[in-house]
Amino acid sequence: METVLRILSHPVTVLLGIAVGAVLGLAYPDECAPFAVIGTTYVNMLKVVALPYLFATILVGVVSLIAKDGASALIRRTVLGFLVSMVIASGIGVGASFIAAGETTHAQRQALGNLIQTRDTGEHDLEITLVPRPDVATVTTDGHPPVSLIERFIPDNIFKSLENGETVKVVVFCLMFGISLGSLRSNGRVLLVEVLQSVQQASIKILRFMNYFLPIALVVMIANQIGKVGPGVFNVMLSFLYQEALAWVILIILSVLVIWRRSHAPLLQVANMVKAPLILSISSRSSLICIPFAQEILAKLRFSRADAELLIPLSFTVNRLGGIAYYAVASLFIARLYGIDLGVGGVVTILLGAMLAGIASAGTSGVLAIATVGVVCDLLRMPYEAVLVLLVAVDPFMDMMRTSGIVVGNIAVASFACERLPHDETAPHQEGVPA
Amino acid sequence: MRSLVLTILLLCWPFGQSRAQTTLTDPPDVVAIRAAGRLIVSMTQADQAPFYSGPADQPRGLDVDIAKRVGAMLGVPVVFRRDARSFNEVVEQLRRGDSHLAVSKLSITPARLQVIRYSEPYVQLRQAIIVNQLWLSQNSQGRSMADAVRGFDSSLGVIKATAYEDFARIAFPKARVTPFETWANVVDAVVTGGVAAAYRDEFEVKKIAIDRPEASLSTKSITITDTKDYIAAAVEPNATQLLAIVNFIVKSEFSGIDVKQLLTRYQREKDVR
Repeated sequence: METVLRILSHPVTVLLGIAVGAVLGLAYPDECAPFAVIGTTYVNMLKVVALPYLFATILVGVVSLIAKDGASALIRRTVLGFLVSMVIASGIGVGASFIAAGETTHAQRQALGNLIQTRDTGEHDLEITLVPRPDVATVTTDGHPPVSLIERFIPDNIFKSLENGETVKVVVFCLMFGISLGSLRSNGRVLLVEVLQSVQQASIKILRFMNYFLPIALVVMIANQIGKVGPGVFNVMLSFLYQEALAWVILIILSVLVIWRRSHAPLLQVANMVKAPLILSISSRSSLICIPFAQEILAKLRFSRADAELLIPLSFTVNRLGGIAYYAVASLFIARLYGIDLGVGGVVTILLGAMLAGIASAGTSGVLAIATVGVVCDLLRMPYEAVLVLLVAVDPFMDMMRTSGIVVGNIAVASFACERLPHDETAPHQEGVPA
Repeated sequence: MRSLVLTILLLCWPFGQSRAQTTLTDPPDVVAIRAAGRLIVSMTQADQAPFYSGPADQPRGLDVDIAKRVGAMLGVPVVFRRDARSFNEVVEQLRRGDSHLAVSKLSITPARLQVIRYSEPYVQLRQAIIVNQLWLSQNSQGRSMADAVRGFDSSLGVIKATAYEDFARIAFPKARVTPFETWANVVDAVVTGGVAAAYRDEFEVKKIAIDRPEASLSTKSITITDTKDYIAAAVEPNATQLLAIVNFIVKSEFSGIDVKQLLTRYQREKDVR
């Protein structure tokens, strides 16, 4: 039994799962579709544990932060880390787009147009009346009013937010509640923190158990994701995929180098440790379930566990590095498609706009996350509705890269912001979290 | 006795004469067609698939089917006259008597209604506009897409000497109506941004996606639901009997054709070609 468990959790088994999934997805896309429910169930089971873990971890982290000295230094480093990493991620997206982009031929434009026709659900052809009708709602071109962004961050009912998996709102609540809790000087506070730590431990035990099934889930999830996109779509959007893939590779490598430099651990060791959350984030497309793994990596690299417990959930939620790079690449892709000459001003606008879009995308997923590229396009008055259909078509691939960019990128940011423990002080191992 | 018989004969004679003089006369328009030995049908030179397309002397399509049915009912062969360079020229040929019937994807317009007689419409479409996406995003100025189109005040491409030159001026009074020789030229212009939009019926606008898929990237087609474009056959004002025949054929065999059926037929004919 132990041998079986060891084989299931071995890195080679995990990589084999990805490879088999990719081959099956390309060769038998339709046959793989019914098995998607296995992957969805696996991710849902991870998420159902991850939310209580997130809740408990942030509260414990905030309380610890208030209790210790140097909290303001942590906050300063965190803010600096967020700002610098956002600029770097946006710059990587812009740079990758310029390096990897090529000319779009007439045949490619026809193929893209055909793809829009086949994937469009009828939104491309609109109907209006010449005489306005007060009972008919009109489609607005301004899709990002400021009020909706605020509503996305502030919870009105924490239980509803937990039920709906609204991570941003849960984080905001935990920050507010944790600050309040940390300011109390009662036995009740100590008791509550112990209960929350038990919740953490229990969640991690479940996650460890679920990790044994990862290779099987990987086969199904990767096969379904690749099958959904299909080789036809892949070929048509190849240029965009190259640009995004290049940005992703640069972001991951840079992040690993930052972690290596900050941890003073061997590079190979760092790369090996980052592999687990990287693979999980690619296959599950969920940064939430990677939180415990990211915290454990930082703890093993001798960063303050208390700092990591607070920073990791916060940065995964707010500092959407993978998304920022994606929005920069997507905006330049759109500009090129429409033959828009941006100039230096336009490129700087994209650089800053992608950062705004990244913040605006906090708490979003799926089509809403993709549609947030409208934040950048609206700044430059570029059309994007038709191209949205194309972006949605290849989003399974893009989401893998966005999510893993958020996870690995923010482990690097946390390694910059978290306090590093002295050499003779080892971080206590959290039982149950796999390596 | 003899005088009585004579009197009776004399009295009956006028009735016999009047019955012999009351002969049935065929309607003059039908007589003229039969005398000519053929039904001459006007169509534009340019193809308008799936209404009519193919070789000038042997076209195929919906309008061709209607014309052939009329010819069959009259018992004469149909000759297609396809030298008109515009839809307005088709109307002029009819008015001059150079043709008996015009079945040429003709829209009913107020101006034409005053000079020719239309049949019942055999296709009912709505008017549509296809807008350059870049123009739309740069000129919306915070308005909804519908409001931006309603207040359209930029260059609007149409085909020269067609109903849509008039329709465009009515629907978009602030627009700069820009006529082009052919629909292909109009579409090129809106795709490349030479004009901000193009105006025609919803069938032609939606057909662009079939003929030029790359246009989906740079344009957006919008159907204007509170407008109409009736497509009907036409005869010269005095051809009342011919009109009755056309109406009968349209009502019994060619009614209820909508844009979806047209697009399906067009795609089918395109695949065969």
